[in-house]
Amino acid sequence: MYMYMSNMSIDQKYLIMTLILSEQQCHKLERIAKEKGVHGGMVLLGKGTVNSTTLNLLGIKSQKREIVNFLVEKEEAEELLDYFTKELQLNEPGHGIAYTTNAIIADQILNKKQDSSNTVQVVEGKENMFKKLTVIVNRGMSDIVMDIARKSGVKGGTIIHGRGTGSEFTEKLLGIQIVPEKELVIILMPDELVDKVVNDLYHELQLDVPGNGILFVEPVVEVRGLSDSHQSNKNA
Amino acid sequence: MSELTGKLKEVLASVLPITFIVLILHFTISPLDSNMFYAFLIGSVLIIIGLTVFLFGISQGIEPIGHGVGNAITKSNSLAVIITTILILGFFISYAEPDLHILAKQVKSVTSGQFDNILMVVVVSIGIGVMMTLGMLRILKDVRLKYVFAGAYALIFIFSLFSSPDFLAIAFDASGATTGAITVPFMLTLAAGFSAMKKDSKMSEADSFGLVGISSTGAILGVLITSLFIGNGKLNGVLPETDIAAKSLWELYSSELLHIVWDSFLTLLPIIITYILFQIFFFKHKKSKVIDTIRGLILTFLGLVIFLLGVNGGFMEVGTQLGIQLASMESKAPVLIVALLLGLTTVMSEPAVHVLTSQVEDVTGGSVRRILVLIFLSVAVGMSIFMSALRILVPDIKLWMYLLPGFGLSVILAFLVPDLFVGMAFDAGGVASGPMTATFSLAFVQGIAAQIPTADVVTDGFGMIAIVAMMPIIAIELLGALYQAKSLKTSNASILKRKR
Repeated sequence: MYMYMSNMSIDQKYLIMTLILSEQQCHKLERIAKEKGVHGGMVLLGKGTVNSTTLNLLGIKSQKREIVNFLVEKEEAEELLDYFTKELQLNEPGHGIAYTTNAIIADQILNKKQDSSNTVQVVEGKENMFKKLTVIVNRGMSDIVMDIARKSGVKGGTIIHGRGTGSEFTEKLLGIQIVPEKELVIILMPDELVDKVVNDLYHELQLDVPGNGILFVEPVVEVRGLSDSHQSNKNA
Repeated sequence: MSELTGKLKEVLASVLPITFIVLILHFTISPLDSNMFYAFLIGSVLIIIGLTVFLFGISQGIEPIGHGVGNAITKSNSLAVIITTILILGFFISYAEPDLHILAKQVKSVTSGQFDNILMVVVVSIGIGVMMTLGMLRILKDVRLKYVFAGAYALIFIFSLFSSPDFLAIAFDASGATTGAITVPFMLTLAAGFSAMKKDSKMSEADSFGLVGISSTGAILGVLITSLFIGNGKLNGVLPETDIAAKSLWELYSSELLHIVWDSFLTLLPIIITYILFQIFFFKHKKSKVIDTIRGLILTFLGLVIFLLGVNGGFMEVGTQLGIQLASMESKAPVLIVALLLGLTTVMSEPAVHVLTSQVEDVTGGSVRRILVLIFLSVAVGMSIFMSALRILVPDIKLWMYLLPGFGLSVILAFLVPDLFVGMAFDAGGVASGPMTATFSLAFVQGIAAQIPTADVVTDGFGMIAIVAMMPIIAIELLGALYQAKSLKTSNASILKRKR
């Protein structure tokens, strides 16, 4: 059975691309992303602020925003970002924003990890470093994710719910895509737990089977408010 | 400003279709009196403005209150608190609904005073209070929605065997009358706030819906049970004639204004009182939040007044007039086609429909698109008005021939589709029969009935709302079945592809 390497390395292959858009823009993005062959994204519903005194006076203080997360390959990230920027006119104010961040591990490449050579060591500056683990699963699975994570020593997590972006097989009803509901689980955990939790989740959720879910780990610079749970994690 | 224009666009897209249909009819087969025509145009503008303001008000005022009350009573963790709060709340929300009082007065006159109007309002309100409480307890005790609906409709069926068809129609109308523009958003968010506290996320999603549907059955049961005690005479009274005398535009609108302001205030009153009590004892919100909520309530009130003014001043008489003119034509095809078109388009401008569809998107994280729900609702109501018109033209079709198979099918389908859609479907039934249907479409159908010698304005008019409440249930359940089939296909396809 495959064992996950214990040293933390930045994955050169994948980046996390995040776009914050209005509802219509988001549906457009889902369409053009599909054309570009980008799948397996997750959409969360959120609220954006409104900077207009007139509207604020009317009590309109927030507007609907959708937050889209994609896991994209590093080589194509720049090109995709440029393409989306052009298509969605993100350069104009109020049209939305997009950015990419580093991912440390993304589950798709776990299997190849053993012989992968394109990974770079992260310089660990401090002790008690934390990582942010994100698991995206189908609706109703988040409890199972938390059960597994708890058994592996994690104390708690945060669950957000949203929808997937369509895959290439997405069925349509009257021309409208049927996209599945998804849940996103965020868990902050100390470095030493990451190995075990990722491994347990990966195998118990059978994430190597397509459609079961994806997970990725991101670096975290500073954490506050978690020190207690860190202690108890060690005891658990 | 994009938020404001976005909402305005949404409202325009839902009000303009019905306006265009009436315009086309006016210039082709059914010209309206010029006074009435201008009143209609003003009415459309008022509806657009009113609905926009109203929707903002709902999301700032009514929804936070409903959600907060739902949360607060769950946190109390006491069965006694939940039961008393919901019983009282349900009773007064229903009691304050102006549509119910109008219906009750009509019922009193057609039953020659046998069924007193106050008695009717009270029994319907008790029914709503009791069923709403059961609906909340169901969420708490994890009883699946389909069993509740199967039970409630089985009871309705049994009681309807002992009551006259006329009372059956009145009973269903009462359920349509109580689920008004304010009540529905409040109940929807109340259930969402209540069920959001549950741990199981999938169940909590499904539990966000269904409360409106369950409460509606309370109104039906209330009337049916009472009718057992007050005898079963055939309805023989006459409906007081509403005078369609030529009034000037100004008179038309100003005469409506005062009672609409009062009615809207009464509808909001139970919610305002609830908010004050909860603010003092549970919420203890900061001042800025209280100001936001109050502003939301004021916007809701203003929006509702402007909207109802447009509907009552401009749309109602046009409805009657269209019905009379089209039904008097030689061929019966135009009236049936127009019935279908009116149904298709009016439902989109129902305020509660906007609230339901946006809650569907919120609760499912945007997975179930609003536009899909709208399309299915629209077709369903189009069919309902068509069926109502057909029933008037063909006297052999009895109301039960629609209702028995229709509600039978909706209960059976409830066992075949995902729980989420069952709740949505039965809620949609209450949502579709809002102020637009109860005035404009009802006026249209009564206009037809007035023109057809075999028809009876009273019983035919009463039955229409029952059909409008029934068809959306079936439509949304069918949507659920399709949805389930499609998403299964999607996941199968992706697995197959990877295996290859």
